Amino acid sequence: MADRGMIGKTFEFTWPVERGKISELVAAIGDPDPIYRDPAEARQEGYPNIVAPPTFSTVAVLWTGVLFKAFEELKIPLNRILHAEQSYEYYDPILGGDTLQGVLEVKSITERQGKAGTMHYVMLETVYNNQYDHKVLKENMLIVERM
Amino acid sequence: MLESVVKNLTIGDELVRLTKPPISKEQLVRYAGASGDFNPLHTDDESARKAGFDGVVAHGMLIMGFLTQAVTTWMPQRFLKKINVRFKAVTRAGDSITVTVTVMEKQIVNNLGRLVCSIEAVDQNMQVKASGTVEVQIPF
Repeated sequence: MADRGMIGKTFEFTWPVERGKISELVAAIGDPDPIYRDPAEARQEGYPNIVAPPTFSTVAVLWTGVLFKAFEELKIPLNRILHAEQSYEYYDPILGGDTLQGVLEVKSITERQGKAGTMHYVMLETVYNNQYDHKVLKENMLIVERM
Repeated sequence: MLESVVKNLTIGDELVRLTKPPISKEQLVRYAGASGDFNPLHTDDESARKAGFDGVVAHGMLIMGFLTQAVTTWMPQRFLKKINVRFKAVTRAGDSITVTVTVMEKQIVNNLGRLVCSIEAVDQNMQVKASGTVEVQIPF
């Protein structure tokens, strides 16, 4: 059950933006846009290098294990989790070769009564800076723990 | 080009309609590997059935990928400022998702075209899988 004492807890991590990882993600989504694969095409579109697609940052919180660490410390079993909402705010492009510095914060834990009983809504917010300490993206993940 | 398109837009105009091929089980394996989400709900029919589903179900984030792909087919990614999405229903392997983006608000201020649009993903039976809003800013 979501531990309310965790509100405000933060988890810091770094994540290299790798070309191969970008290719994997866009291949899985089925997005053929060459700006994700070809540096020359990306430059033609005005980017210095290949671009990370819009949902790429979320790969970081999973692959670094930070998200699962948060669930563990929140005492939420993985098999009771539903991903309810997801949002992104984009400040600057994330490019191949960048290094992301992320801070995931447990923003809020709220309780709602649903048809199936009590549901705990946990809002996780992650802010990303790049290697120049420039803020590039903020994402919010709303998770429901079914009780 | 985009400038004249934006200037001619009215509320209710559909900007994008993107239909994806049916989601294959291979696609779910690829998405698990790419995203780092190895929840067996997405890759093992037995686990999915034990959890009450008919078979493997798609990651919500895969649908999110479809939604943002739809937006970036219309304009360069750097014009995408915000997206907020609520997941409404589970997507199964075999479902074909159609994403639509529709203009809700338009403002042109100081050579910047700002659009707020509704965005929705439905399956082949018109069941809504996810919906939300998108904000884009197009410089003129």
